[in-house]
Amino acid sequence: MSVVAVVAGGCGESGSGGHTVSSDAVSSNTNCDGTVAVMLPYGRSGATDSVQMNWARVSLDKFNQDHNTLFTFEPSNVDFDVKAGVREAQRIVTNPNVIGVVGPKTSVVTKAVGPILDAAGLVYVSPSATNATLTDGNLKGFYRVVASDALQGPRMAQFIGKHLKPKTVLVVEDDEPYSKGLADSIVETLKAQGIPSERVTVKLEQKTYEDVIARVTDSVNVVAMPLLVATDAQRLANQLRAAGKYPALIGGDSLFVGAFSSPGAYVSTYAPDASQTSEGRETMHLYQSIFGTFETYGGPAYVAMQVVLTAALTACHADGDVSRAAVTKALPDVHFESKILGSPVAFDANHELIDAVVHIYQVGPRGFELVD
Amino acid sequence: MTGGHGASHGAGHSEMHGPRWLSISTVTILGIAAVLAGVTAWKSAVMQGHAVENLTLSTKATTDANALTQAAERSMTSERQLFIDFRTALDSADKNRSLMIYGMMNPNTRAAIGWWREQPDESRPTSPFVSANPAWDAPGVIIDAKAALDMSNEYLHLAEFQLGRAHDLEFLAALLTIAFLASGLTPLFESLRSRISLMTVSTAVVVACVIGTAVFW
Repeated sequence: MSVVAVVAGGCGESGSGGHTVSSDAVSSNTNCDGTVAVMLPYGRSGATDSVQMNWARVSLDKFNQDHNTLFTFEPSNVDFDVKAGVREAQRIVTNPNVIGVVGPKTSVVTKAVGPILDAAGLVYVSPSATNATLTDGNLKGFYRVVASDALQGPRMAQFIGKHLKPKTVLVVEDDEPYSKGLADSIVETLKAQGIPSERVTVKLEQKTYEDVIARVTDSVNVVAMPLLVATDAQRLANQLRAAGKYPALIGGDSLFVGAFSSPGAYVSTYAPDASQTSEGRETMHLYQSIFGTFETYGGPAYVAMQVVLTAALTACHADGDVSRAAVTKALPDVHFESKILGSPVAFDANHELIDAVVHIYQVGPRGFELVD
Repeated sequence: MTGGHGASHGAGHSEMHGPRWLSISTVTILGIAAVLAGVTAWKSAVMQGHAVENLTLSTKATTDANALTQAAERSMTSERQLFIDFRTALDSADKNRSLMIYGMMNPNTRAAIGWWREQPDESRPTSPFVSANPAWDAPGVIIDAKAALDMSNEYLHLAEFQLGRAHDLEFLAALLTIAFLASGLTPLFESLRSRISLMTVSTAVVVACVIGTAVFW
């Protein structure tokens, strides 16, 4: 990795991690390069789930433009499939140009590939893996730019208690760690609030939900759906409506995509409404001008890419070394204002985003609308 | 008689012109006002010149941005159409046509299609022109166009700022005429009190303009 480094300064003020660096440190004479592996899905025939990859790509090209750098990316098409994730991780680590990873998307894949990436000395910043146990210290190189389920579950339960007038809450979960973890924290918080709840487990891509529908009785007026796959949640919502049952629906961040559009349903997510700030609107317009459409779900992927590249740029400025070790060393001290998250990005000792926030949206006629 | 007459004439003469310090102050204020008027006029002209320069740069940057954006849009439309024709030719096993169409593509489009063809069947996107394709350069081109537009806006804002400052300095230069007027009227009044009042006005205007010039410099 050839590097021409001219230090232009621009280091930010000190934070809790010691010396911190700002993403706005622009050097007009810096030519830093390296490859960032992007372990996010980019769709197959008929699939639409490439939003996160789109955001990551915009972030990379924008960063290169702003900082006069030459970073490239290596796509790695991994969604929920653990075997595919392991295969791709083994391929990525053999590429000596790869200096960091954006992704994986899901908690289950993160748990599987984490040890492989750790052994290779790579950092991996996820825009959407929210299982609370991922930051228990076992995965050394794992960071995330979103709130963990330890925050999301209680937030959903508190919203239920405060706004949905629950009698009994039916929590529908699937077998995935994301779903189970989120369901656990929802139920725990509901219990602490004295709200009765029931749990039912379904399978991924299950076609009919008769057993679930049967449990939605007069006393069950809220259905919490921390399901991993948005199309599963949409199918369940449709079948409830078809059966003449209209409980309030609330799902997790995995439903904050176009594939879930049950009118009136609530969805929690860590991504604020980027259109509320002028800088956020600018980035949205940029996205739309490239891809023709806009989906907010992938916004944290933009931030995740910024995090890795900022660490790489820091390493490049420091001594011209954009190696895996240098990026790993620089990443804990990354600190910048995010136009997409609308708040500063910085990490605590557990590699969690400091002051992460969970927002609640409702599906409306014009898409997701912020309600809390 | 002559000495008394001379003495009374001399006393009347000094009464008409006032105390010496007043004369010196008047001249001093007038001098400062004149220099200040010249300086503010010069600085205003300089800032207007810079404003024109930045407006020109802004116009050029806007033109560049528009050209980049149009080129990117044309390129995206063209590459998609060529790809569709290419696929159609391949699907109908028309080798000559597919080769001809492939030859019409620019190197970036060919590279994008090359990456796409190398993907495994089960994960190949429906189109080569997707974000996951490192060889697809359209996002970077659009971002460059946006950066050129941002640069244009920066120049424009700078030009507006400089023009505003130039107008402020011109206003100060105009304000200084009050100082000229007040100082010029001073000798015409016999009353010392009137002369001092006019000098005060003149001094106040000059001081205000000095402060204003420092602020708007």
